[in-house]
Amino acid sequence: MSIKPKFLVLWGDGINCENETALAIEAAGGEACKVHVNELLKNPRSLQNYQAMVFPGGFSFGDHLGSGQILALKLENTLKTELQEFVKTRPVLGICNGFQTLVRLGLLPDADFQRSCALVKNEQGHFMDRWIELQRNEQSPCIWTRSLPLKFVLPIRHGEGRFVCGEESVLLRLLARQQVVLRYSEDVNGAVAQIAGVCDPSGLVFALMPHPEAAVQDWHVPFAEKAWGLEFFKSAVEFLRSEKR
Amino acid sequence: MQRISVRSLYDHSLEKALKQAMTQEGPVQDLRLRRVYWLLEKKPGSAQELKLSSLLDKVFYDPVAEEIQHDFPLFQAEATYVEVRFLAGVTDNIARSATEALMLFSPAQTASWQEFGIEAHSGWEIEIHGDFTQKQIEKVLYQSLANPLLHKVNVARGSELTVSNSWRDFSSFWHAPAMEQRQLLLFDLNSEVLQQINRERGLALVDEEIQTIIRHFSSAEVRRQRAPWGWDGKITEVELECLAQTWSEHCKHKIFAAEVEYSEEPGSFPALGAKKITSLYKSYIQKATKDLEDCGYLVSVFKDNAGIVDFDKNINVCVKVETHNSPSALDPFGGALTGILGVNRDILGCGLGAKPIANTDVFCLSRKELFPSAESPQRPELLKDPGVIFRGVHQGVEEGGNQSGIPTVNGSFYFASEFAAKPLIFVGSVGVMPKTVQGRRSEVKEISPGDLIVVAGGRLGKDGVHGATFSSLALHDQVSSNVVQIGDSITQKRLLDFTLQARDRGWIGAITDNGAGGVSSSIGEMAQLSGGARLDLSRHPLKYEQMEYWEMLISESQERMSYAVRPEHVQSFLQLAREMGVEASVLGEFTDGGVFEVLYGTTPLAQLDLHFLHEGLSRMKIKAHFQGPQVYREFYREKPKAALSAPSARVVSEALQKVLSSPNVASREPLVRYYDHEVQGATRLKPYGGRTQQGANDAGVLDLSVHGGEPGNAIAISNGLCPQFSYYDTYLMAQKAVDEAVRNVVATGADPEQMALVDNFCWPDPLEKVSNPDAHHKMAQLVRACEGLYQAALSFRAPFVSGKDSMKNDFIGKTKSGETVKISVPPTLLVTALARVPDAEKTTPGFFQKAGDAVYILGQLTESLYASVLSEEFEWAEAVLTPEYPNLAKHGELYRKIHAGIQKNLLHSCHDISEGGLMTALAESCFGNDLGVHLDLSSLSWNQLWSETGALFVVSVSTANRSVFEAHFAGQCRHVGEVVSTPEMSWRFKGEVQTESVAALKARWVKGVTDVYQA
Repeated sequence: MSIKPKFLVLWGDGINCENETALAIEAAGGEACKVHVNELLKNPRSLQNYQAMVFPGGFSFGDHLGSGQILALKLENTLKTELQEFVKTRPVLGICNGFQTLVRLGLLPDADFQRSCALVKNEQGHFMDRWIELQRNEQSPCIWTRSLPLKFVLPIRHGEGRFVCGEESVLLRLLARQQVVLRYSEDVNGAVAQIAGVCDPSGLVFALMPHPEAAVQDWHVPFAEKAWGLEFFKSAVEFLRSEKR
Repeated sequence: MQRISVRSLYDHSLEKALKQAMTQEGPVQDLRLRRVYWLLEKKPGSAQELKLSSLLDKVFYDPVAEEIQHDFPLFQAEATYVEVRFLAGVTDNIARSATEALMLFSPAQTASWQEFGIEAHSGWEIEIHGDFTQKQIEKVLYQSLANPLLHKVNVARGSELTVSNSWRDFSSFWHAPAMEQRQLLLFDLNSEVLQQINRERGLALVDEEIQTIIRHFSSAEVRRQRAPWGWDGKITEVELECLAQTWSEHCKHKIFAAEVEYSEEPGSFPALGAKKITSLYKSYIQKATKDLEDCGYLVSVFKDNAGIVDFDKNINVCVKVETHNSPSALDPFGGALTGILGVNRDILGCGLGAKPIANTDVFCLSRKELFPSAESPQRPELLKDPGVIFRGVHQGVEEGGNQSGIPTVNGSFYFASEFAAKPLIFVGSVGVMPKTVQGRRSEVKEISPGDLIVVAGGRLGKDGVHGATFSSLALHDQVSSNVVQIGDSITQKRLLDFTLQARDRGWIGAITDNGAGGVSSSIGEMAQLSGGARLDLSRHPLKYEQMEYWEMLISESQERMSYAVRPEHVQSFLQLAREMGVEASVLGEFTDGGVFEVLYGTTPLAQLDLHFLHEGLSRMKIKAHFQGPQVYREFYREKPKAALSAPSARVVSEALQKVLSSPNVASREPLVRYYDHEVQGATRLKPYGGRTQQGANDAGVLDLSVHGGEPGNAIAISNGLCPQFSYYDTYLMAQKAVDEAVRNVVATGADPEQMALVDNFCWPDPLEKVSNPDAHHKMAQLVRACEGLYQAALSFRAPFVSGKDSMKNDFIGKTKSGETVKISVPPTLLVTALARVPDAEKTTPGFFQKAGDAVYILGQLTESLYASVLSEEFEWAEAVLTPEYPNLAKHGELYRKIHAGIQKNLLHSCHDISEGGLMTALAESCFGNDLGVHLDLSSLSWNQLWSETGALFVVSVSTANRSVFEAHFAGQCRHVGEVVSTPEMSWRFKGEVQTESVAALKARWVKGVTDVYQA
């Protein structure tokens, strides 16, 4: 029996999907450690005790000043050095508000603390909760999606999930380097190129707007279809187990 | 002093909506909306110390998706500019977050954002190219971005602003004058004096209560006790306010506790006979629960913030439903938001603390076609447009639930003209708690003398002063803006996270939320557990200094919980709060002296005998006389109802299309999508499912194992509401509401032998006064509803575990033409059913699953079209209008059979027949998976297709199971057709066959409510 890799699951300040995210990690064979934002910031070096980090969904700081904005400022202020180091070697996942936070931090799409993309309000102008088909890019270096099929369904639950790039060149680069990991099968929120999830060039840092942790059991799916959400976490556990350091 | 504004480069949805609304007033060339932030220096030097100017871009805008404007824009002479600011003291959540963001960059540590050297404010700037007056702009903004009770709307021409910018000096706008010396007023114990104060302050005390107060404080013993403070023969302002809050109808439910003398006219309804009832609550609601105590799953009922049941070996489940009608009438968004956050705090304050796992919401509203337009002379001046209320309450529940991370799993909208009086906003919440906490039973609160009073969460402000007494009055033209409150989901989320951590560490001896009446109620109530309390208001953090003593005691400022913490735990408790970003303060201690003492530092403010505070209230005496069924006279309807030709297969189609698009039937799905219904990962049956995600499920089903419960165990939650039957007989209305709630949970797979009910009454005022000529009838309606409710609960063996009443849902005010108008809501009872789903794998969706399945109707068909949607939509002269009363025993038998059938996997789908009748239920069953149905309705009468008085279900059964199914439901089922893969609905009726496309029917069904929402 191999040792369970430790996943830091961030919570507090309005993050609200930490419990189901932790359950999914455990079910995938990882050890989920819920760490409150303030606790992590009190001791930034403690980040290195974990093999992976997850930014769960929620409404950090009520999405005020823009979704993920204040949480990103808070983390950048105290944790920048540690995060910089962490993302070089360890898997990081952002879900929904976690995606928004990673983009604001500039950890996505390029893990260089430069903002080049944004998640803006859905074209519809409001929050929505519905299930949607996603297509996976086989060529992507993303380590979080390796064991997923090419098509599957997940729920989206966001008001600000429309992915946009500041410059056209950024989009072209993301597409060329296969950093676009997931795309919606239809236009759900006005996102450019129907992008649902992107990773950094290394494939370690990945985030998506849909919620894999809410599609773990087949009964999570509101129609007769298999739930694939657990595979994201299994892929990461698999990756960490196979890694030789 | 800084002003910046930000505009999105991508999202212009709000701009577009505003532009569209402005176009109704006149031509608009262009309109730009920007979010404004004003930053003021509270402590001199703070801005410099923080290097504020260099931070603005980093904190306030996203260079990828937004543009930022420092200071004011370059005003264009031909444009009109608008600034929308919050009034001083109104909760501004964005400003709170902005302040917290700036604090991140401060070298100094600040205890709370309220103490920070920079003060932020948020608002809007609008630039309009077009010619509009202040009045036109206000009209549009008061329908969307602004509320006159909360905001100041400034309008100026670009040409004026270029010459002299009157908006430049904004610092004084939020500046409040310094508090003069606070004073404690003493009042003489004299009827006239107290009556006058009662009127002036809207305390809602009745004459007899004032006499009770005078008697108590004039007694020799009390006078002697009070002499040392110089209060002999006097009552303090703080005491009077505290008594008024505690004794308010809202808090003490005086009508439900009253002595009632009931009589009735003879007629064709179940006779109750003349009788005297001492406390409707004790005689019916509590009695039903007592009679059913042996069900074995009642853990704690009626005495706590929520009812607690045992539906799982590992955890307990609790449930509470509240209303927030009056606040939602004034500020729909804020009212609904504080409603949902408030009921979540009820769960959090249940036992030693429970975790909210699901929300429900039911709105009863008017709609555009049922309310006089703004130009009409009949228009009541104070009342808002129904569309404004609908959008506001919907967005409030959306924000509250979504931002708190609590799924909204069940609910309803119901429209009738009379809900213009007050919108009824029911908000419910379900929670879970471990059976024990550090070895203590989690449902038992304990307080010993010496335990400390701790309050945590938001600060105190004037918001919500007099909420409890305000909601105990009819809605009048005069309202104070103080009663309006805005919730703060994030402060509450932190409070919730913190409370559950503190609970698990065993640091909470007792807990309750601060709702109506503020700490006067929460601490006043908790004090009963130890026998007294000493509360020092000077230790409660304030939002601002300008508060009187009495305001501090009764302010209902949101997001606060009260705790009893043992002295040895208090340091750890406060430390954990600090670490989790929650402000907590020790306000005093619990005692056993039998007195509720309130002080400010060393200044005594109140000395109230605890027994008098809680038991001193004299019992009200109310007369009730039932005049028999009344004819429903709609308050207002714009267009007369349509006529319908003689029944035929084709006319069924005509009627079905109209009924499906009727707002009381149409799909709530487009609006339900705004709510997160699956956060926390436990929602097994979501409000809508199927391939199309448009198949309506009858109840929400929640998995308990995800929350620490047994594997494979779940609960279902649903609602029943039938106010349209109240005009005939509330006895019938109440039974139907229970029956509908039960039908809904049973349809999804719940066990009808493991159910708990929650009752929420929203009544028009039943008390005698000049403005209320039919008070006796309304009171009799209440008695009959209680009787019906009691009989139904007993018949289904479903005890009540929690409930609430709101008794003043009337509006009295002037119309545009100056006439006085009174509107009363119909007597309304919401019944929420919570039931155990013993096998979580065996839940049944409300829509067809497979082509080839046989379609059956379960239950006895009924004929009456009384209060049906068909008769709401059409003039139908030949309709059978006298409603059938239900045979509940027979219904119960059917429900048990259905449950057994679901356990045997006999049903592929099960959908109850309610609004819209049989035809609607059949059509809705097609929508979830875009399947069709071929029906033979030859043996059914026209009325049976539309009647809503029965207890019926549409079910689908696999062909292989047909014979087992028919044997199982012998005598209770009727085969009517087959599910087909072609998405078409066809029926044979009166010798003809008619076919309609499912897509076309669904399109009408989907549009019905969205049209009302956007109106």
